[in-house]
Amino acid sequence: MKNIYLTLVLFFSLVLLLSSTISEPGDPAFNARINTYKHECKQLIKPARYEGSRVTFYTASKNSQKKSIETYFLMDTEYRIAFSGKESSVKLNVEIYTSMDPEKRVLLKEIKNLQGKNTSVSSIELNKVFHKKVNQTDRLKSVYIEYKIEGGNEKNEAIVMVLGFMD
Amino acid sequence: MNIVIKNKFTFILLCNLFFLSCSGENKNVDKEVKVEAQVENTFNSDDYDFVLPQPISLAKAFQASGLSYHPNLTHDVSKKDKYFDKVKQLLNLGVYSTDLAYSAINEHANEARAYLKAIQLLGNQVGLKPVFSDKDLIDRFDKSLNNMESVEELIYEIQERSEEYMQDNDLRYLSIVQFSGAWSEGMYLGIKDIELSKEKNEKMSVTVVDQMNLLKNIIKGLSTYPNSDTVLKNVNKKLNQILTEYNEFESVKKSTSNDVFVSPVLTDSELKKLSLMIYELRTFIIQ
Repeated sequence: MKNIYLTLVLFFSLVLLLSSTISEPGDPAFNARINTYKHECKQLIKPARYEGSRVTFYTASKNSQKKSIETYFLMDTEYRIAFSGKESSVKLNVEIYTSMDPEKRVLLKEIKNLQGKNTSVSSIELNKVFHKKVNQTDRLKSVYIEYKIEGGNEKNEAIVMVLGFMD
Repeated sequence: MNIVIKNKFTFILLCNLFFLSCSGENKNVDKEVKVEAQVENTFNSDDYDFVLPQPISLAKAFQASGLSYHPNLTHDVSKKDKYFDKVKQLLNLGVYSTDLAYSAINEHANEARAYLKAIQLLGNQVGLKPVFSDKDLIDRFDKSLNNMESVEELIYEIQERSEEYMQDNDLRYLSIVQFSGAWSEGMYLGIKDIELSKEKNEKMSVTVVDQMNLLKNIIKGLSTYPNSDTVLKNVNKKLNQILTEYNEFESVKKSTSNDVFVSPVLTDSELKKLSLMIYELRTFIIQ
């Protein structure tokens, strides 16, 4: 009888422990961390004005996965993109392309091992590569960002991206 | 002793069950409060996503291409009280957002003030009270009236707050509907400017083409709207028609056949066709 009680207590304690450590968008602690990283990204793009942001949620699993975001450089000005990989524990690489078409796209920038840190990139740098690699006088009007998320322990994680432009 | 141990275990077990049941209740409450939030509240984001610009960026891109200010082109502000359907309110919130930006960047403070009041009213109606209920908004605008930089600053602040509120509360589908209204108004003002200009403005045509690139994602975004809505279906149908016809333009087909995308230069007849479709869409949205 004592053993049954002990097993039940251990089982429910384990369930409680697991449920308290699972991160999800509704979890206040998780949301607070995401907001902090978003704020850090906003600081990184300064003095650029905020244009928009995207939080990409994923569940790390044994298999690697890809997520992508398309952003626009509508105005003929410098755009800045900041990324935060602080809510990622698995290996995370970011690749920025000219388009989403795998046959036509040109790689403009690769950011390796973003997990655990923040970084930013400017459209000036991307345009330089664009003009060098492609015989084009026009500027970039949009870019296609691809997150390459390596496999790892099952965990809910997120990548933060903030876009801004110089006014 | 056995009884004591047994009671201790029972106590811990009951505590566990109590906490579990409490957390279950909370989840149910969350579900009830955030009925609308269920659309995006799953952990995995879509494999493909996008970030659309702010309405003021649409207007600023046109301004940089030489957009002139034409009085009476913007939407009649007195119509703001005539929209009772939520989708119409959202669409016209977008239309008025572009008109606000268009008036502000062209330094027409009184018009901008009227549009700010319109977006405040519609914003409150569509459920964005935390963003638009700020009583100081108009006061702050009035204090900035003679300083258009401050007015622009205020517009950026409203847009950032609005975008963040919708994203944080899983209401992104609302922002897409609003953006489609803003986009149609921007395209209308840009195309009208080309039509009304005495000299041919090639830069303006390029900006029109640049803004056409947003259309595929507007259409994709509108499909996430949770309820089946007749107005939205019609808007989506018109947007799809615009995109299909646009992709059939010879200049567009030629540009997409290149290895690297080169912005097409629309012919006069293609621009005419596009403008008719944009006028039809805009008329449907504001009527």
